[in-house]
Amino acid sequence: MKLFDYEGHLTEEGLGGLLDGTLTEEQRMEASEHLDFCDSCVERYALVLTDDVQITPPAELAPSVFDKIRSRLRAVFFSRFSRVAVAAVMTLVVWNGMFLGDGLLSRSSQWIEDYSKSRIELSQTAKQPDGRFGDFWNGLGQWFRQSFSMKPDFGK
Amino acid sequence: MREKDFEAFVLQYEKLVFTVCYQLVKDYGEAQNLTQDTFLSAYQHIDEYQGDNYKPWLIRIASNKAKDFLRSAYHRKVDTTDQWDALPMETQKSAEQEAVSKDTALLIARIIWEMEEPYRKVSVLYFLEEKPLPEIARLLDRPPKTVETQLYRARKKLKTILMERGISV
Repeated sequence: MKLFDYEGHLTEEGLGGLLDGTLTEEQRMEASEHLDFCDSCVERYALVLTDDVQITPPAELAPSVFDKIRSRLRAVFFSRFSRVAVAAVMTLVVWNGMFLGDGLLSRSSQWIEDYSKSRIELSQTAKQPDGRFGDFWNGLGQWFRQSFSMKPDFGK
Repeated sequence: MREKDFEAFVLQYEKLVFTVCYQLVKDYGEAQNLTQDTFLSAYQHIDEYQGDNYKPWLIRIASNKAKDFLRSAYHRKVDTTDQWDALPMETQKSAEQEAVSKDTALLIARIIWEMEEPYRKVSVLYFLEEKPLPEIARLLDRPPKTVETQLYRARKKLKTILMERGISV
């Protein structure tokens, strides 16, 4: 069967084959590719697709069509929402980093040092016989200072 | 278009769209899926459509969905590794080999001119007139991807014909 004429349009025979289901798989692929871009052949195909040749689907399609539409709209909404949310979070992180980062670090290390010192003072007034309590807190505070602070180690 | 109006739209055209999808893919289940995809696409673009007849517009969308499905199925079945990329390559030849090559080239050109559509025009423009793909797409008013796949299939057909005639390139 000749599916296309010399100009590359679907022949009447080809359209007939499409209607009565006698085209091969390759021919159907070629026909679908052609109908995807050729307005004149689409118009001709539309003319022959009269009510009496149209096939009733096995099941009602409208409910599943709307399920699909709603599902797609939800996916698009959440995709956009999550992108906006990520962008907002990144902006806040960068903003905080630019203007507050150093201040936050130094305030944190100051707090840790003050806390350590308060524990050291507490240990010193606790009057433990062997001093282990004081030694423990002193070591802990020193560890904190060395781990988190940009400030020099005050030593023992 | 409001949802209620679109619901009426679907009811009006579901048989048409299903028929197009089924005639192209010949599978009820797949035709249903493609029909849903067609109406989903229609829903997303219906407010942009300015024509007064929805039938051709829907047929075009349905054909596009069917085309993608059929191409995908075709590529899964057919070996897409194609080492044969061109017609006779330019290499150093003797005078006798040159004469044989010219005869072969003329024969290949004739075979190309005798190919059936939709492969003849793309083959003539690509192999004989050595036009680039984007220009071929513009000249034939076909989507570039369609030209590319038609050319790929044209090569395979040409190779088969040449092998049947005992011509090696």
